Amino acid sequence: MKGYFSYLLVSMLQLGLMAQATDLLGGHCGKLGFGAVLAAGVAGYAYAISTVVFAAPILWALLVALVAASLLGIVLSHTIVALHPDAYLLASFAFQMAFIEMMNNVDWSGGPLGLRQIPSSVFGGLAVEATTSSFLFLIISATVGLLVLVSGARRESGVARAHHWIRDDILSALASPLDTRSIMARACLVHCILGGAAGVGVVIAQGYVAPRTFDLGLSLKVLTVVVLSGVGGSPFLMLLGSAILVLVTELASFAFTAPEAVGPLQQVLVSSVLIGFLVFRRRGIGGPVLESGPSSELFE
Amino acid sequence: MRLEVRELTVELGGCRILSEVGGSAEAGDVVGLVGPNGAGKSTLANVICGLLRPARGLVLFNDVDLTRLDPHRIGQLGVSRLFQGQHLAWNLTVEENLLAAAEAVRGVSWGREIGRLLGFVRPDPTLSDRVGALLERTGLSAARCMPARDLSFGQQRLLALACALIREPHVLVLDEPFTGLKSDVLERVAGILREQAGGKILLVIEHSLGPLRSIASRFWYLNRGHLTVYEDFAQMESSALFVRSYLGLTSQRASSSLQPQIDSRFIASTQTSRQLFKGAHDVPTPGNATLGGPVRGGEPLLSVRDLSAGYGRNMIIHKVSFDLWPGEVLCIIGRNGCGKSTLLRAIMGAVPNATGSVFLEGTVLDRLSPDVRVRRGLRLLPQDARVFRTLSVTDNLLLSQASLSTPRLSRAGLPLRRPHLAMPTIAAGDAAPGCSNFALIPSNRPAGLLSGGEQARLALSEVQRGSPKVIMLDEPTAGVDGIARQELSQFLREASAAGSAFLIVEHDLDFVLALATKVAKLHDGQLQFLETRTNGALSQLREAFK
Repeated sequence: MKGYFSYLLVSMLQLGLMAQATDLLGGHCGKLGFGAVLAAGVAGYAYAISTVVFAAPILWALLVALVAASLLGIVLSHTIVALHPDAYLLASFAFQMAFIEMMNNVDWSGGPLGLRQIPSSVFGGLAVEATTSSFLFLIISATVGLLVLVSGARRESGVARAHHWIRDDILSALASPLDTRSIMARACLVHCILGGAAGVGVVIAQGYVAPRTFDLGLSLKVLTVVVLSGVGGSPFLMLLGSAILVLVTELASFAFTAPEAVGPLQQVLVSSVLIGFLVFRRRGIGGPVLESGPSSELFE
Repeated sequence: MRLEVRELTVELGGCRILSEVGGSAEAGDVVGLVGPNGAGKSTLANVICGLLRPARGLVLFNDVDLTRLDPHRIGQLGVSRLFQGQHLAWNLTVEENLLAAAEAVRGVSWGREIGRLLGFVRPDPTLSDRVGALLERTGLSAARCMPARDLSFGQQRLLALACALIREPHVLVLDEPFTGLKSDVLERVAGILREQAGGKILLVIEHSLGPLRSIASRFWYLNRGHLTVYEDFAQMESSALFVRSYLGLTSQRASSSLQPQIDSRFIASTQTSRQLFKGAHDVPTPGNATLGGPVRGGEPLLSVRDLSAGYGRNMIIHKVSFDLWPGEVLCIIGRNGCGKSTLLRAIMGAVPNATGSVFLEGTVLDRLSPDVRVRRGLRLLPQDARVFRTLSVTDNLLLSQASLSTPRLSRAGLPLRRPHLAMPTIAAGDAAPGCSNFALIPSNRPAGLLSGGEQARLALSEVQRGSPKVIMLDEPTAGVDGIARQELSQFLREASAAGSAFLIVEHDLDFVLALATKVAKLHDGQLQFLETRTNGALSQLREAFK
């Protein structure tokens, strides 16, 4: 699979997967943050370092990436349980900034230039082109992710109802009797693994990794997809929202012939979509109406 | 089955809340837990449910020490809790709330849900029957698919009770289950609790002594962290401790006034609470004039003309008009969710009015923001969010006083006149009527750590500052103890005699009849004034309330 079309599909899947992961914690459990992009960065770097620095086989590198994302999930879950939603948002932002700075300044990550010539084949050593490889990997990840997320996010699911109860009123959820810590920790683990899968997909598709690959611009895009699709909505809507955002930003690139103007214009467009939906349509294109209960302050 | 509290001591923020509390209950016991605001009732409930760890002591349920367990473990052992406020999964439907509560007992797992999605795991076939039966019993069948946030207050309380019951608990801890409920909902809740009493242990915290007396078999009286156990209501009401510390009366006055007088199902046993509102020395019949009475002539203090207001396109009140004269007390009754609180907020300017106008002493207020209306003499005690939770008691009082003299700012954000450089000096014990027990509360304690009743008393004192002209009170008796009710009643009398006017939203008809000069029912967004001065007024009001 070659060309522009495959690039678009891969971009949609990457963004969609990260948005699903973000919405699982932010929309369904009430703890919005930058964890998905951070997990993408950690898993992407783990994959890249395994293959480039240690010349590990690709399946081993994938396993290392999964473990790295899971470890991050364990660390973040402790943070999530301990912090108020606003504080967690700031903490995850700080985690991401610290990660970018670290990758910029250590030797084994390749510094600001990152690591290049990352092998792309993930299918038993078959020589396939990087975009195709990434596409197949992401399709598998997205399918597994959808299965997991549909279990954890659809209204008919007991896990989703538990998440929603914790989001709406943690005090009564505790006494209900939900094991809120364990439920949040498991949601955080799923969140990081899905983010990590998207990160590996990004690295395979690009063939290189650098700190700027997982910067705040990507976090902003992911948050925009979540808001555009509807916070706390369906995982399918997240894929649709990411498709819309990717198409809109690509259309913008046709408006300017000067290549240096495309990037800034896309950034402005993404920000405008985010602010526009926040101000004029909080539900996004199809999300549920969410209101804070009278006991929301008890999250403290 | 046995629940035992043994030498329980709880300290919060350096303050001892419970002091070596001890008591026990067996299966079939319905224990009424009574006490003044801040006595530690909710704290005791929180310790039993594992939400607080005691400094010392044990809570034993069938010889298992609950103080070492997490809340979800305690819940799985069969201890269920109804909270004081509205604690629900706000954005889930009624049915989803019940399903979530039922599933919570056995725990939720991703594996089971994926299995269910793929058809490997079948759902519990009895669950939908249990949900249906509880919906039927609580009268929520018609609201099955409504989000919990859209239910009326009474329906939310019923849903919270249903969520507690669907777990089929052995111990049910209920924190003020009757507060803020109109009579038919209250009867339904009491009926459900009576059904549950057999074979279970019910611990019911309540200030409405009438309904509590109708279901409770034993009474625990908590006062300043010390527990006294009474075997029945008669024993409690004749005890000097209860009479003095809860009712604020002498024994002689209490015994003369605690005779059953009213022949309603609950009110037959609510003479105590009825007495609380009126003061033991002054028990007027509904026909008596108990206040100074309105002073007519000149302009009314508050005039509302054709006021319509709501949220977005949803109009809640329609063309409401009335006048409030100096000395008048207008009580507004109506079913839960009919728009009473919205009317008060619209008058205060917190909800924009679609049509109509509000006048204070002839001056139109429509373009004025709520803070300016407060400085003009209008006050509102809202039903919830009454205090700044993170500020101390003293800071709350200081802020309420300081806000009365805050200067207006120019468009550039500069003060139009010189601000007061010195903040007013207020000691915590210097609180207004309704807060006499504040001297007992550390003035530096955050308001969020006060009990629900103490928060209500603090808010009441804030509302009374600065010589208000019209005071609007939304459920002022909810969660406050006998002494505070008496003091509130006294304040209403004195302030109305001094020329203030009151607009009160209240579910307690005894309180309404004892103090109101006018009663109006809000129905379909419109006010209908009711007769209150005849002998059958109470039954008419009760009928109007349904």
